[in-house]
Amino acid sequence: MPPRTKSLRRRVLLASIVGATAVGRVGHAETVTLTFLNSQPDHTFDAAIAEFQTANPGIVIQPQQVPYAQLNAQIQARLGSKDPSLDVFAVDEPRVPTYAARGYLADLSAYRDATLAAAGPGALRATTWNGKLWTFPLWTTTQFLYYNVELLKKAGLQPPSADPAKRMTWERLLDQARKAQTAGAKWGFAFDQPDRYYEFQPLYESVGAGPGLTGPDMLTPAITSPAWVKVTEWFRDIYASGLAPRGIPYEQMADLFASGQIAYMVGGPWQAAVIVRAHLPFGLAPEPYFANGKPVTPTDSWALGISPYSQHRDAAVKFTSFLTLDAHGSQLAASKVPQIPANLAAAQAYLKVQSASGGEWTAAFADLVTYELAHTAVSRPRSKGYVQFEEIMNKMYSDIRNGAEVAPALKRADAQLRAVFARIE
Amino acid sequence: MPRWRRALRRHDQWVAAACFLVPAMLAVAFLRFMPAVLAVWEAIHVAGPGWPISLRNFHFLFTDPDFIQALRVTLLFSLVVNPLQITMALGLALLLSRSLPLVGVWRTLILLPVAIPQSVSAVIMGVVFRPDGPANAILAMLRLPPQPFLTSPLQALPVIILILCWIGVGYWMTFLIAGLKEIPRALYEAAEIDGASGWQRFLHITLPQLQRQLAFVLVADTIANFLIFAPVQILTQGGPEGSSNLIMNDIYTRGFLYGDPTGAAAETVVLVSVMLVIVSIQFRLMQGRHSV
Repeated sequence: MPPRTKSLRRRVLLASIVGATAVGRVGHAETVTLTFLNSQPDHTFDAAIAEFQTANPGIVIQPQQVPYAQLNAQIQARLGSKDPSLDVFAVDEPRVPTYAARGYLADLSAYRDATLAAAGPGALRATTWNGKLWTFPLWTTTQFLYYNVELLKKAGLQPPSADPAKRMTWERLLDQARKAQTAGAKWGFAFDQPDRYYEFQPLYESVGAGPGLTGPDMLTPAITSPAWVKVTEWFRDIYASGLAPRGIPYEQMADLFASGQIAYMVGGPWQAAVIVRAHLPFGLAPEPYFANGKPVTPTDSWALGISPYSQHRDAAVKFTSFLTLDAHGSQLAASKVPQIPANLAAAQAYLKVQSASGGEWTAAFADLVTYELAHTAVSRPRSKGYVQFEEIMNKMYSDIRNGAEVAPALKRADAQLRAVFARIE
Repeated sequence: MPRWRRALRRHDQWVAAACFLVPAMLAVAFLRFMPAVLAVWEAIHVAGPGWPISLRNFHFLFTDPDFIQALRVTLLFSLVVNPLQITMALGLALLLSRSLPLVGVWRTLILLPVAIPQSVSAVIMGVVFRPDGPANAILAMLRLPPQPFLTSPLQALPVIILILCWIGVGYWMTFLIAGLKEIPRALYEAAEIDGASGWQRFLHITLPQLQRQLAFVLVADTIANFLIFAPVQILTQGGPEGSSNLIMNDIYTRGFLYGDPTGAAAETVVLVSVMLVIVSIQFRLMQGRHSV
């Protein structure tokens, strides 16, 4: 072999190695890894993430799941220390004002019109604070009254109507729940989230007692009025009288209903899937209201926020808007945990699927969701102190459920709220 | 040999000592001293115009009912848990330093909970003390009424103390057994010849001879118990009604749930100050006895 060819070959080989390394380097540098902190079960977003990564080869999503009870502490610890390794995180919509005020959310106001077009004015309100958009709305929510068909039949009770015009009162519901318990149901009634303000705010709103916060900035506690005491006494009695189970946490409540041990349960729409899977005959009805009040249901669910300390803002916007503003992505994001997409187009498709998922058991699903969101939904108070408010209220409900007296517990929570609100600049 | 090498040789000992000490000193400086200084600074620093230092975080703390309750609960907890753990550890050490059958097995069984992380122990004990858990099953077997345990404001703290004893007693016992082994047999033999009773031998030989180990156990146990966090966070989150809200849990709640880092820093400073005062009193008491 002539020496020139040899050296040429060598050069080609060398060049190809250098070239490959360079390509490799460029490819490596372009790959962006986004961390995504949330409190949903594992694999919730797998389908959406897979589709997003295929369409955006340079971006890798790394989900980080923590239990719901630890999410706030995680967000506080990581954003409080300006941790750049957190890019995207799930934000409960009532917490938007607190996190925005603390500087934990990047301003997304540039996407205001796109958000309005995709998710409507309600979702835009829930994700906006002080005139700026801080998160993209992922899901919305409402509550149903679930009932066990067999347990009601056994007690000789008429199943409640799915028609919102024939909504039951709490008084009548608890009366029937006691009858069902006497007839053999282990538990007459249960709230699926037994320690969470989210589930109880509608009780107070139904009788016009207010959300528990007042004032121009919603930073004045208002939880010791006679109406608040009365409703909280009513709540305490459900547990003290043995109508509802005391020691069961949220994570186990739907399974308890699905195993046929609870006659009536107020719970989120996502619980329908759990009960359908268990093949338990059940029905859906609108959430009850107090006889002297009006129907009220909770609303506002999760949104996605971007850390202002993220070094990949553009990629993060691409990812979060795919899960929320894009109809297809939004549908995928609600495929595993069946929460109502905030995206209006995705919600239509979702409602059709959910209504059909359990035959006649879930036939009322779409109509109920649509009616409640349009007529009875009340958002949680929008306050810079909402995170503290919720932590203190949830602990208070847990104490009362365990038997604490109502008036002192409300007074104690009132003093705690005043102390922590005094610390808000 | 170059001069620098010769010089180095002369200071061989010092160089070696420095090599061994520097990593530890750096760790102490960065992981202990610096955070402590930062906590003090966060607690007293005020942003904005004017004098940059203020005690308003401390003023707030001492008007906050949650903090006052946490302080009270922590002091009550310390008053009960430390003497209880040390007495139990000493009792077990005395028992297990005798020639019992299978003594190695007993020692291992008592020490075993130390090898399990506190958080795992707490999860296990949370199951044991659930209203429908094994503890109530045992009570039912003995025809005793079921107890609310961790869901009662009267029982939550005592149950946590019980759990911490289960976790910690074996650990402190090990130090005391080592101390007991060091006491010369001749002292006991001489006392026996003089006709000293068992109680007299314990009081006049065992206790004074064990003083150094007891002092260490007392101080280290007190500090460890001031810093208890995981069991409270896992079992009660400070509830019911704040009855088990030890100060470390209150700091966590303030810093990470309420998002008040300066308040949490001030509370940390208070905790460290209280600990320093109590530990220095303990040191003084033990030294006082030693000089007698």
